[in-house]
Amino acid sequence: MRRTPNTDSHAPKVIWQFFSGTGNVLAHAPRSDMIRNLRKPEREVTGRRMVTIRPFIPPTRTLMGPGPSDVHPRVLQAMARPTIGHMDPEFIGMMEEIKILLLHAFRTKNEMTLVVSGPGSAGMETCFVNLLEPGDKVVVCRNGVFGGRMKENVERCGGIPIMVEEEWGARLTPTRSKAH
Amino acid sequence: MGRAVDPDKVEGSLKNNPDARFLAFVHAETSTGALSDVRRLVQVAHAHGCLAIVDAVTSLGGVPLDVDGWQIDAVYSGSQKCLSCTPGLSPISFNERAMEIVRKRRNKVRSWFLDLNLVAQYWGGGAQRVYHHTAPVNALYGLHEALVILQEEGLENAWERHARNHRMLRDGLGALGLAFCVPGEERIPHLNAVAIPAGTEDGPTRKRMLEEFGLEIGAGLGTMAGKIWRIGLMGHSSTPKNVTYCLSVLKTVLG
Repeated sequence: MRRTPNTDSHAPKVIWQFFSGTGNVLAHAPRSDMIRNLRKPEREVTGRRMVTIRPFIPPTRTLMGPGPSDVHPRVLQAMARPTIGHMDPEFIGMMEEIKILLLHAFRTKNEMTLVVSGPGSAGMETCFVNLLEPGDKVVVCRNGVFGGRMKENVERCGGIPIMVEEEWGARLTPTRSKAH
Repeated sequence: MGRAVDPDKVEGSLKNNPDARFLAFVHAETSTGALSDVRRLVQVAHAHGCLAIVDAVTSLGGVPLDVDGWQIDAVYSGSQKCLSCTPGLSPISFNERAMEIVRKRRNKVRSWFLDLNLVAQYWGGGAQRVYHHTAPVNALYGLHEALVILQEEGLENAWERHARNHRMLRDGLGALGLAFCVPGEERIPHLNAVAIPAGTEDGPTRKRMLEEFGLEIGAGLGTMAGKIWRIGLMGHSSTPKNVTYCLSVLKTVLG
């Protein structure tokens, strides 16, 4: 992205122009190379130029990394259904069903089984902030990145992490600096 | 390289720290591809008077996980791995022993948003529900559907599917000469960490896979960046079709 030197704290300024109509964007939609071109001007936004941001249409991918995995089409369809109030009795009924389904997935009868509104890291934090009090000792196993994140959580809760380490990662030689 | 958590080392640490109150570990370490023995580690924790906190973000729905059978005290997971829902939701479960600690705290939970005493009233039974925050309504529609799909397939069948597709991928990667980073018995079946072959550039190769073939595989994290790839076969992505496709693309880009 080209930007003019940042001389005032508000730069770059982008003036948003919203579509009032429909159709002209969707007409371009399906092909990923077209979409890439459609989106190109966005990257070239300079400080004060008028720019039109178009709807984001993701390319088709096969997700075979560490997550997110490919979302089942039925899940995407379910998410496109109309939003209702979160205190609507129908919605509350659906939340109850999620709890029942989770008991099955976790193989548990725990009454305290629910969904935290946030990613796995929020679930991790839920465990530590609720269970730990300042001064509590926690033995934390670190055999990769996420054990390190647990240590961070223990420390931020005022706890004392005792680390059990497994060697992991590429072996570092003193001459090579650590990758990000 | 990656290894499972060693229960003997944990035992040693708990012996040296008799005042420890919790043991925390990751079931399936996504960064290395190593799967740890939850049942055994929880046993060790309990034998030393500790509660076990288990990260099951990558394991739920992909490999056996038995919260009650293994007596896990607190567990959390994620929506975007083997449940094949969109990212942004975290199912959790606390047993009575853990809840006893939460209820008898000396200090208020430091996070208002994550305080289970409050969140539980929001997720609690029907009419007694107390407003806490506004749930991500449509995201929860998605999770509901994902869990319905899992129920339809059957939990054991889902585990078996992940194991079966892993074996197919493993054999194919072996035929391509790609070496696993984790010993056989410690591997997460749906997250296959392999060493990038000598002479192959990480970034340009993955870029080509993404741009020419629309196929995303995972890069290495931290010290493993540029050294390994992480090939996931999670949830809806775990199909023989994807295994075949991935192997074919790898064969092409590796020449």
